[in-house]
Amino acid sequence: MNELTTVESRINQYLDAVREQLSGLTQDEVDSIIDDLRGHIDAAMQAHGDQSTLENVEAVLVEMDPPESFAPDLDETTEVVPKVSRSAIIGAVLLPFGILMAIVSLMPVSSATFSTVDGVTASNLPGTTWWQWLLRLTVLPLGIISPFATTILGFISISQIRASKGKLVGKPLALIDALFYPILVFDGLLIAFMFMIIATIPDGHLALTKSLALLSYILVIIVDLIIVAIAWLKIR
Amino acid sequence: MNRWITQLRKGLLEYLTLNILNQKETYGYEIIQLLNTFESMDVTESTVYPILARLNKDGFAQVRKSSSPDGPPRRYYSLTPKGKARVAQMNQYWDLLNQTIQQIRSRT
Repeated sequence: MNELTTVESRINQYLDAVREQLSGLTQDEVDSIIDDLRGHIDAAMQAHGDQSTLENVEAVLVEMDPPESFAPDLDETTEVVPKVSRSAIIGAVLLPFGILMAIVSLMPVSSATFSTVDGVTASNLPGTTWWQWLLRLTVLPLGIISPFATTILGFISISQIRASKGKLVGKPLALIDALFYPILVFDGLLIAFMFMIIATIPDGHLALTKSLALLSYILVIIVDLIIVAIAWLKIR
Repeated sequence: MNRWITQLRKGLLEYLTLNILNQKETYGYEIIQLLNTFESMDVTESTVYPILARLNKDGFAQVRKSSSPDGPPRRYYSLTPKGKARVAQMNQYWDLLNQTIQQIRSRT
């Protein structure tokens, strides 16, 4: 083996050792680094007198970083993909059960009304009992816990997202979870209050009653929007 | 203290490399030589070449292979328009950061 082959072999040995350390980078990046290193070695050898001898190449390589130092830091190669907060997702899944429970709980009333008109009892109405009971058994427990669980999970996920430094996302979803039922209760109370006022209006003022009722709904929407905007600004 | 200096240098290296490439087309070895002429900088191949590879991958820098007058072909790096825009933004932010540091330091 002549001197030149030995020199090339030694350089390749170093470059192969570096290549082994570059896991986690793309092939183009690896090739780029290796090509640059090869150019670096050549330039450094010229600076050492341009002698392609083993002594010269060893003198250059000893001044260079050892192959291990090319191992990329984990935080540089592993890109952190933000995940949607699990608490926020669970809260969002539970959210509809409260509404569903409210709908299901209204069903027997409509059945009974129907049966009275038709002159049959609710108990012997075909197809109205077993699935309704099944639905109740499944939806009812989830429906009962839904308002509390959704709200709590919403607040938990907001604090988790804020503390995660970008690893968790889903603030809008978490905000919906946290505020949906409290706002619903607040809206109910506000409308009830407005209708109590409307009830005090003497008969014969239909236009005023209608206007106040409309105003109540508009007021509720405005208040809701303000609450959501303030909450969003607070958690953003 | 050493850890802080290392981290700071590491963070600044991409910025400095972009600024060097913004001034002229050059190759890796020359970038290292240039940076090491400054006392505050102590850079090696294992820090500069991965940065050049990443800048190339991200489209901030482009490579041109050209034969060297006194040796094998060299890989010359230059900034792409995207890279020039990036370095302009970085310089703007650096000025702001520098201003902030000065203001905070002079608050005593």
